[in-house]
Amino acid sequence: MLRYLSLILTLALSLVLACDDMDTGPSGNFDRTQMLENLADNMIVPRLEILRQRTESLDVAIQAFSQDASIENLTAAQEAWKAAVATWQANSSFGFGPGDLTLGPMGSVLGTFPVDASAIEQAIDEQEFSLNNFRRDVRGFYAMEYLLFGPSPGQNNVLNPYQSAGGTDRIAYLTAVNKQLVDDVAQVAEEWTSSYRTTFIESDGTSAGSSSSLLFNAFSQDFEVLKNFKVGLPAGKRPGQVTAEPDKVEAYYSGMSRQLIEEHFAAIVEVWEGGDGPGFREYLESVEGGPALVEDTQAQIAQVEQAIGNLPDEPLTQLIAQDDPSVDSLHTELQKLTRFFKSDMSSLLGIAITFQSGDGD
Amino acid sequence: MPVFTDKVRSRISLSQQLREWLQSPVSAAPLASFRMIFGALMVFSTIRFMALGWVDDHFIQPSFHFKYYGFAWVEVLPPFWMYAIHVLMIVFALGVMLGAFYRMASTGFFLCFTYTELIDSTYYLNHYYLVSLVSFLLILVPAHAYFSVDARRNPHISKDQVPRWTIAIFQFQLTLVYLYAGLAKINYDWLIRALPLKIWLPANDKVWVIGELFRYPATAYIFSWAGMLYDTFVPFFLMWRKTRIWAYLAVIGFHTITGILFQIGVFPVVMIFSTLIFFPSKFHEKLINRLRYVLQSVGVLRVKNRPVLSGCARSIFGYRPKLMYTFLAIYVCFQLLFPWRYLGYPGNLFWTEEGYRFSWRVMLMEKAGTATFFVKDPASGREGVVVNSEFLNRHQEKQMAFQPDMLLQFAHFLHDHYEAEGMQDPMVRVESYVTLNARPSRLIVDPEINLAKVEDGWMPKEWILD
Repeated sequence: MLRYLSLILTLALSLVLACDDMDTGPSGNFDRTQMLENLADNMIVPRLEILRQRTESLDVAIQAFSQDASIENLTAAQEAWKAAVATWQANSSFGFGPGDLTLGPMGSVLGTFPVDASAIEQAIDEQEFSLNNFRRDVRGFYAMEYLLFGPSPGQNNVLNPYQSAGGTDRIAYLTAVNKQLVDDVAQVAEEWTSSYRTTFIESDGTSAGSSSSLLFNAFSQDFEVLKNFKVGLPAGKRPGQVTAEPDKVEAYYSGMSRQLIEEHFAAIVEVWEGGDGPGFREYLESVEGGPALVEDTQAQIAQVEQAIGNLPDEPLTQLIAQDDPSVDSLHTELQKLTRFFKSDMSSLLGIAITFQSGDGD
Repeated sequence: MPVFTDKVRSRISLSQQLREWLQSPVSAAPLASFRMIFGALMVFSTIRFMALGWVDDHFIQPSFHFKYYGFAWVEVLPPFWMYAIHVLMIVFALGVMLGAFYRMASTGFFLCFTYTELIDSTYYLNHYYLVSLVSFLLILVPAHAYFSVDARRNPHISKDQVPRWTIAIFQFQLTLVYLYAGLAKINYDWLIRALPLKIWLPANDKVWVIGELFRYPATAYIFSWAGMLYDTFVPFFLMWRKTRIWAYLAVIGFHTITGILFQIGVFPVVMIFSTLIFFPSKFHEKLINRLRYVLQSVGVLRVKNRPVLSGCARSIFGYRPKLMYTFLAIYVCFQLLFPWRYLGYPGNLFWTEEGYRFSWRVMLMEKAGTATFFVKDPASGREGVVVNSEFLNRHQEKQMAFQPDMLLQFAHFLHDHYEAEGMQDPMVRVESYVTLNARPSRLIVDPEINLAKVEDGWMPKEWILD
């Protein structure tokens, strides 16, 4: 046995000496703990904090509107909503840890679209304001958008239902949606600062349930939401869709869809880059095959950015209705980026993406 | 032609010798302790499987299951029955462990376990295949002849000896697992590039104490070579008396490390305990005597003076040795040869995976992909992009993306699904980009081909790209 062992050692050692392509130092000196620390302190917590501030301002505006449904208060509430939803784009990928709410990941609980307008109207008619159900398409940012910008454009059209019979019920539903939204955001932000930040940084492995794995999964799923639902769905890219469905864009009633796509993509890229500190990009630079992937990813990110830049400055609804080719090419470029963000990255980093056992040795 | 006759005679006597060796009676203790260990581990692993919520995740939640070729008829049962089967499996495994109603328990366990494995091929694991094989072999052998509930209840089946083949077949099976796993590691990526370990080890650099070592590429090389040598040679060192104890320490060390590093469930424990079958009968007799003493002193077993009947227990083949030899010949040949079927296919085995499964290729490569399916309605000419996660769980999606036969199955499913939704004979194609051992990802199957019109089979898949 000793001879056997020494044989292994000799063979391995001679191999080590024989291979000239091997650097003897640790690979890249990349430290996952530092990456998690950087992402937590310089990205996740600050982003959530801004979101909390904006939803608090939104809360103030909604309360004012609920006291007095005037055109000024409506405009103020709309502006507060716009500011909050723009920040939301930078937070929808944090649906793990505290962001994994009772009803599911934050991204889908607060960010589902298109909302079911008739279900919302029915709940208002039936004075059902508890939101005690599992439906995601009657709550969150876009349910509030419907109540603040819908059912049809024009401030008077928005205000009408508030000022006619049943207006108080509409106010009540708006208040309920607002309260849940504000509370959820405050709770997530609070948990991050009070305790989860430490948990997040300490869980520095790569197995299922580790912070790298949670963040990666949330990140890549968030990217797919952008591709599949913000662009693909309204553009009629789903199998079985016989036509484009321009009214299924995100933020249909406020017409912000184009701007939000831009903000969302920029936020996703920033997570990948890690801001000013170490992130997935730097991590990739330190592993086998990583530099090539970083190069490909950056080139494709530039393509997507260009495709977004090529979208004329109009709501996505109109671009799709006019069959503008720039939407199609944006979808194609996002499609090309998917594999870099999804399988290539997790494979090179050795991050587990499911809980199931792998094949043992 | 006296020389010729001599040759024939010596051949006859050789095969005669082999037969006599296989039939010769040996102590029943190793088989009995193997039975108890295996049964206990299966009780544990089935409970673990249920406790992790995997019955629901694996079988009940997904709306689509990937079939094994030739086993498309195996269907998932309603939730109640899926749970019932797992509970039954625990009962059967207990029966195997205790040697109670042994033939029924071992048959029941084999059938239930193999059924659950055949439901969905994305959950294929070599060690599940091993469990299926071992539980099948356990049906045939008289593992309940010694130190079992059955032997207590029916003294006439109680025997202290078994035919040697009933132990040797398990030793053969484990040897094959290790040897083939080792031979499979003799390839360029594993030995020269130290891949996939160069990916997997640094990902574990936070493991207690030894983690720091994994950041050095040299560690990946040492582990790659040591792993290859270990797998290839350890069964032989386990057979040889002089090296056995050292080899067994290596077994413990090796499986403990892989168990810590990788998400591989109960497999390390299974290997650590089942390799005890290589130990001599004396060891197992001592083990069982000690166990008997403990059970008697806590009062679980009554002290019984009736001696174990001396004699050799019969396997399921009874007094039909021809049947037994035929079975052994077929089983051993199949096990030896089936893993080499990949030689009949063109291209790189790791890329095409034609003939990859059921061949003891364990933890050999890092492979992942992103598969995007396009469904086209020929009537309107509109092509849509499928969101896989609407039909598959993450594990299924991940496994499918880099295995061509699974891509094909899912394409057929999509064809039928969208036809049921009103499309006329939709065309289905897939763009699947796959990375193998840190190489840049590229297309694995022809993205232009309508997979709805392609049938799976044993023939080489022409639509896999090089």
